[in-house]
Amino acid sequence: MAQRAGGPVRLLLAGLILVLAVAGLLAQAGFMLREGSDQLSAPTTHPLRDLLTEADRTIPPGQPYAIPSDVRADNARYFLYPRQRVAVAAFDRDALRRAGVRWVIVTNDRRPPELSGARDWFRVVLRSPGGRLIEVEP
Amino acid sequence: MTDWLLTAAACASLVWAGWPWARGIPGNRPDAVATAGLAYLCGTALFTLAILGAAFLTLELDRLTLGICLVTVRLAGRLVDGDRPPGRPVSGSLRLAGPPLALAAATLGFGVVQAFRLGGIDTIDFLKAWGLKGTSLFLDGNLDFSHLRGPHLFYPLEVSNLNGAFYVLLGRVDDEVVRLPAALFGVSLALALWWLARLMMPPAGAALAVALAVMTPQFTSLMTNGMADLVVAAYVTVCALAAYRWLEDGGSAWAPLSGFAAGAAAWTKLEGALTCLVILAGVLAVRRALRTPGVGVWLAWFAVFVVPWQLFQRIHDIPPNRAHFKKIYLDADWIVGHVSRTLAETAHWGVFWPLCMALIGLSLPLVWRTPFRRLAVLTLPNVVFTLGAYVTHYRAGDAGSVEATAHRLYLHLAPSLAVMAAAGATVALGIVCAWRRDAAVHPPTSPPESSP
Repeated sequence: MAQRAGGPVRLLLAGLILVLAVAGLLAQAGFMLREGSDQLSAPTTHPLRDLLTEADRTIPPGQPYAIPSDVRADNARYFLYPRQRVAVAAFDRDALRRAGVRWVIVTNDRRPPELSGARDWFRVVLRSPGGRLIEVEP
Repeated sequence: MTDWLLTAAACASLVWAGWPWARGIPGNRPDAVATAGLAYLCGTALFTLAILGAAFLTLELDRLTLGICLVTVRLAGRLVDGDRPPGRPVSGSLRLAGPPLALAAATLGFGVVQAFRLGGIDTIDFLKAWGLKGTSLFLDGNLDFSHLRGPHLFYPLEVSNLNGAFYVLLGRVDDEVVRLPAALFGVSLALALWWLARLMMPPAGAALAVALAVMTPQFTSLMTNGMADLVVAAYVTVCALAAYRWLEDGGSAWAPLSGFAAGAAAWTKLEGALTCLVILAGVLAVRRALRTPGVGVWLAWFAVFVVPWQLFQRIHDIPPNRAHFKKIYLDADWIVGHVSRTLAETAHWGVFWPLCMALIGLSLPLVWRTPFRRLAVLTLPNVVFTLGAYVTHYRAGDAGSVEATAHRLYLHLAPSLAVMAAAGATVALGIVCAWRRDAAVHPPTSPPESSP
């Protein structure tokens, strides 16, 4: 689109805009280089995904599960679909048995003391950097 | 490897299905490259809508049904088949456009490479909604979501249906390969943006618009992380730029593309509906008439995408949105502080927002007497609306929730803002070129020497 040059203020303003546009574009290129470098050097491992994928293979279809972490419950729901999560009041032996829960997914962000270590009323079926899958003995 | 090839072939088939729509809906016939970008946007929107149509008919959503949906979309494209005149780009030298286009292409290439190397998607909204509902489509063969509970069931279905369709095609849930169709929305946005911007400005300006739009960490991150926001950004951008052509054209030839993109944005995410309705309000404000030519067809396309999902939700007792927009939060200090901090976060944006705002602000006196001022009417109300209204209404005052959402919502408008900034730079370039031309025609002369 044809423009007229106009007065010196207009010309100065136009020059300033062009300098800013070029400098800004170069700055954005710099940010993208940094972003690319950061992303390419970031690890692409998914410990929680690995745990939940393995849990999906282990827990029989249709069987519900419990998970202490509300934050990770969304992850579990996605990977274990269409199995349902069972809400339990506590994670001790009696509460879990009362609720009829056989499978418990314990993620690293919330580990109830009752489910840590080894106990005679459950066995650890899966152990990974993302957490543990526990089977409550009937 | 086979999964990737199948996924790539399915993406190509979406372009094939959307091709006649991309040729027939815009006011001018796009060139082949732009058609490919628009065809992907049209094909995905209509194909996923056709899946909803199949669900209405209680058909099992298996490979056969999805294949029929795809072919139906392609054949139905004959409905809009017409002889449109080819678009006439603004003339200008391509030389200056080279560097920004190269930078934009490198950025998009990086985004696509990331799709291949990042593995499965773990973003929380993908797990809660876009991926989960896709999984439900695949495993249950319907859209009832009867195994699902939670507050996200009302989310529209473009992205989740697309994910589910790929799972059906592959025969298993594979959230690694669905990064590819997600990344192609970014590429399609760039192709469509380039063409629409070329109808408004010379190559250098259009290239700057594309480069500014795609060269942010937020853009490349959302190309592959399974969220719906880049998809919304693509449709909102097409809606806004087609609305600009609609205003410039004076008739109604561009209303169908603007309305189609508005409907597709609403079909992707609730915010898309609100944003595009504000764009329509901008058109009506400029035309100063409610019954302006094209409004009917705009609203008809919008309804094509919005009404079926609303009906389906009621038929299947899918609960409406109960979590958001329940109360208003009006702490001005907090809002201003939060918005400005968010916009200045270089980890997400580089210097995109300060840069674009400075370019727009400085060029305002130059742009105001050009047709580009209409871009302001179509873009700036949404910027104010999004920057303001979402912090005042969305999970009011919950800083963590707003923080997690704000950057994604701002991306919806970032490409339109990039076009405005590029328009300002285009006018500035025109002034500098005119000055150089004048200086060449009338070179400054030294005063004549006095004869002895």
